[in-house]
Amino acid sequence: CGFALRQTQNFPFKTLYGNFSENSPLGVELRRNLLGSGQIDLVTDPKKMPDVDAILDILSEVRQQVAVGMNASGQVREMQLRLRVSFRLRTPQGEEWIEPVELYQQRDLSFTETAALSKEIEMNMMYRDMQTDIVQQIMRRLSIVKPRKAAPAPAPVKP
Amino acid sequence: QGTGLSLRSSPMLEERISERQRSEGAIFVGGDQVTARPDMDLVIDGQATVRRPGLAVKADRILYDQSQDILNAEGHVRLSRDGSMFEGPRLKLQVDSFQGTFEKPTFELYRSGGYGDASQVDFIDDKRQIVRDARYTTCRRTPGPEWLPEWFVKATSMTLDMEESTVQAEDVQLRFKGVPLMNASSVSFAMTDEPKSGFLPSLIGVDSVSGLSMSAPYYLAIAPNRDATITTHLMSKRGASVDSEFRYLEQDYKGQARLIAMPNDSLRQQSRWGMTTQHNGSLDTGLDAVGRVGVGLTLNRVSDDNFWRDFPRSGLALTQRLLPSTGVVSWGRGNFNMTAQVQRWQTLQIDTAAITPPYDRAPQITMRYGQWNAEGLDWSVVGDTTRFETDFSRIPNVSAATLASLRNGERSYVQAQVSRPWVRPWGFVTPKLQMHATRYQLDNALSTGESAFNRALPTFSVDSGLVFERETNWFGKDILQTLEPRAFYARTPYRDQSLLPLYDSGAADFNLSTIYSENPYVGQDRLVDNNSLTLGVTTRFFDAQSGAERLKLGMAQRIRFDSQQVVLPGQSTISAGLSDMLLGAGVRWSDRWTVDSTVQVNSQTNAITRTTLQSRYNPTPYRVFNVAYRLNQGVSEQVDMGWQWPINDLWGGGDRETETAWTRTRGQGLGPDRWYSVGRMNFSLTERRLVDTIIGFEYDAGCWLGRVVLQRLQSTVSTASTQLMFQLEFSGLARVGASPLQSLRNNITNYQFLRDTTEQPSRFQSYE
Amino acid sequence: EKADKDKPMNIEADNMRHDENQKLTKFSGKVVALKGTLVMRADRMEVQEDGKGQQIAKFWAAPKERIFFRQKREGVDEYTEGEADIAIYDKQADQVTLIQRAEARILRGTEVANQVTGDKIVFNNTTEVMTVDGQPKGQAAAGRGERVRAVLTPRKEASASAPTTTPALRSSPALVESKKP
Repeated sequence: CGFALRQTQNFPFKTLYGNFSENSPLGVELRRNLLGSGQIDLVTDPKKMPDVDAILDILSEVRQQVAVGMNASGQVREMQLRLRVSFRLRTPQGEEWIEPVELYQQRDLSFTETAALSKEIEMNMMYRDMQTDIVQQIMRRLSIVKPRKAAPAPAPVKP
Repeated sequence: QGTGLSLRSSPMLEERISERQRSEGAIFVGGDQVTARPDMDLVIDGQATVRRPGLAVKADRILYDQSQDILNAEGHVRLSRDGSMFEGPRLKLQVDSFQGTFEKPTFELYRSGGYGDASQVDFIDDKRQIVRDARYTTCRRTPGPEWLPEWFVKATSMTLDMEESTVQAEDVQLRFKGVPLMNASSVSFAMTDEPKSGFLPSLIGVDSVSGLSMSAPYYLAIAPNRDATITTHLMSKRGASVDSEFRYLEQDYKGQARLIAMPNDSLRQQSRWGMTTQHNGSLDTGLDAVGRVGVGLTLNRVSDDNFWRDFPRSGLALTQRLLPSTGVVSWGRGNFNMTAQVQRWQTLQIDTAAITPPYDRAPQITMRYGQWNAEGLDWSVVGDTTRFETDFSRIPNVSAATLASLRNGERSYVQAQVSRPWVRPWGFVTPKLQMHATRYQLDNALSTGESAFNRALPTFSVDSGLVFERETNWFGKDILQTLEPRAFYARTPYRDQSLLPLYDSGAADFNLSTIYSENPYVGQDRLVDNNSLTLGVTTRFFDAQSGAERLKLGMAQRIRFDSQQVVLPGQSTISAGLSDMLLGAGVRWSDRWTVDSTVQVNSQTNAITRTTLQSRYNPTPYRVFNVAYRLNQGVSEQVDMGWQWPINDLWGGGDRETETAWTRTRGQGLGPDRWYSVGRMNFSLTERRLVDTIIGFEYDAGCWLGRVVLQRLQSTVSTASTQLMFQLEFSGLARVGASPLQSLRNNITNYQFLRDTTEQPSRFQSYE
Repeated sequence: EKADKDKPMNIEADNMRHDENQKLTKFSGKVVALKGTLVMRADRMEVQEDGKGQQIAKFWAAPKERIFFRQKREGVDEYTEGEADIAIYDKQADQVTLIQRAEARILRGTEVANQVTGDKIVFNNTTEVMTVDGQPKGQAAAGRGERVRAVLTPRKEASASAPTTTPALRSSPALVESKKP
């Protein structure tokens, strides 16, 4: 039915300047994936910024927790965790290859006050899972982007 | 000769006029007839215009004494500047210092969109003017002789400060549809949406608990990085309360502090208060071996157990009956980081629905040292020691068994793990070895006489998965579809842990995020005896052009080769065989439609134990409808609805062109003279109660907004508090956005205020 | 400046015709008229004398060109320059009038301080007043419309000191009749 193992993801840029904080959890995972692809030379030294092929800006990362379901005696029963990350890909000359786009993930979490400690651990697991989902989507969008000119677009690999 | 200044042309218009331009810029003069004595004076007759950077004067006749720089204009005088425009019979102005008077002008302030007339305007300098006997409104004139603005402000004097863009009015009267609404000796309001001190729209309401209530918020812009909002609530049945919130953003730290204080609340004959503060920042310890230390402090405290019922929707803490207070200090260097924290809970008890309080952690010290991809290995060691204590005595009519189940004590554990990930684009294999060593020391011994326990358990797990891809086409869209089978095996030997206390272990929701993990329970107190293989497959559909994830379907099931004996208290051993089946789906086919759902089917009884199903329809700004169904077998079953929709759609629908034109500027509603219905209903099926309801109607008249809101909050199974609130918001008069429906913005995703902050009009929009 | 009024006017031109009984002198071909600091350049010039020895000089420019006028201003190191299709110099009133597509510039050294365009510009040297008229309503040409346009640049040194430097007016002595060349 046409499925084939995914080949190496190739990216339309060689050197990339990572314009995001190094030690935030999102930054660490994004760095790990960018380097893990083996195709990208990640630059973090601001002085080298002008002569990289592309710049990845993480514009915002917003975590939100909302009690969406309560029972009649004011006890929270359902919570929703939301993660919004907006990013942009541009060249040092300012030409935008990917316009600022917001990636949104949400997860539902049942809750009882007595289990507050274990639910706190679970929340962190959920945030990590949402973050992995968003990093995968960013990686996919980076590999799909077709620059309008300059770097020659690699021939897409036909299964 | 020397480094010449290299200029390059810029397509941008110069928004700000520099001082040099203002003083040395050329003066352009035009008219039917000019009589001039060069460098001395100038008389222009007939359609006279004098223009300078940032200033344009038009009149029938202008006398301009260039030596004194004094300009006298008569007859249809029109003075236009970057922020404002004045029109009237006569103007006398010293142009440089911009002092002068304008008789019987009508004026318009572009920043706030307001305009009006006055007996006289005194120009003090180029930034400030005093308008005498002014009448001011932002309602647009509609054709027809008998037009009257729906509201306007009358003041003996209004000082316009263009630099601060504020208006300071003296003995003011606000008239709305002919009715004097407010008389004040002195009022200040902002011309723009920049945070300026001033009154926010006030709120009048009537409710079953507090009677007639009125709240008047006042916004205080202390500094660009500090502000405060002080709201006074007057309640007929209970008295007065003050809700003050202070926010600060400094170089090394930021935070906010909020206090609700009510000296004596006749509802409960006692003084009430409730506070919440968040503060986090970093501290320089000065020792270069240590460097900076991260500090975080969160305090949530209220005066009594009924606070959450008597102050509904105060938005103090997320879980209104369980208030966490946490102080944490964190420090890290390279791959090592440590945190020390103290966390205490305040649990608000009510007789009909008691809560067993979670354990306080006073203190908890955690250290972590790990490396990533060191010669292909990821390893980390986590050490943690925590003192758990709580007090069950305050639980109303507590049973002896619950009292006996109290296990205050200390727990220390070390968890070392090492994994060797092989990651390829087409798949991954990650074997991992974990070692847990835990020690418990209870305050008082159990019935068996033991008070200290040790437990050491190794865990071996292998996570593996493949990624298949193909390009296909669905409903005319080029799609890249992936197929990701995954297998996760985990093996942990059995140790009897039934005597161990239960501090932070609990059953995790069974979903695609938590199913691929070594332990079905989160936390350190129960390490399940695992010999299980979790198999699952996820398929995702990506838009070929943008890479956006359009559809995601997932299925997973766990196969236990041995029965699981380590279970949570009160549960029976789980026999070997197939575990619950998990199905998950997420659809985001277009930006207008999203559907998300997860279903957990118990494979033994085929009963559905956990379901979440939610969908959102959001075709245009200000039109959103969310509906969600959430079932947690035996605990809660809830339906949650939220919507914001223009009511005009019911009868014939608004005209789409004006709407699209209107929404080109963000945050301005869909156009004047429109009704919107807004609401949120949370229905608890298990208790057959409508738990949390807000139904509101908003009327956007263009220059003012009317809001009627009915709120009903269930406080116990039998009692509820209902509240009806009214609000009038005059755009251009008060900082916009503050609305009693703040809780709606959290509960209805994509809900938008009808007036949100807007950008400032450029000076070229009204260029003459 | 004022002193030009009493200076002799000498005129160069390709050729000249004088008609005694009409007291009309005509010059044509690259006419240059100098009178003290007053300079006039035109294609054609006519000087008409009336009975009492008053002289009215008229200047016409070649087609698609304009006459050129230049004079030093009283008491300041600044010059007034002007161009127009037709110019009239009235010696008695010491007044220069520029008609049709008239433009006047006041130069401070080489920098253009003030600049005025209009349909008719009248410089009155005795009162130091310059009046500029736009095209009367009816005849306004479709294009830019003949309204008066002026550009004034404030003096470099602070305007506060301006009052002291304005030239002091004084009346001129007796009339002096200029001799014909």
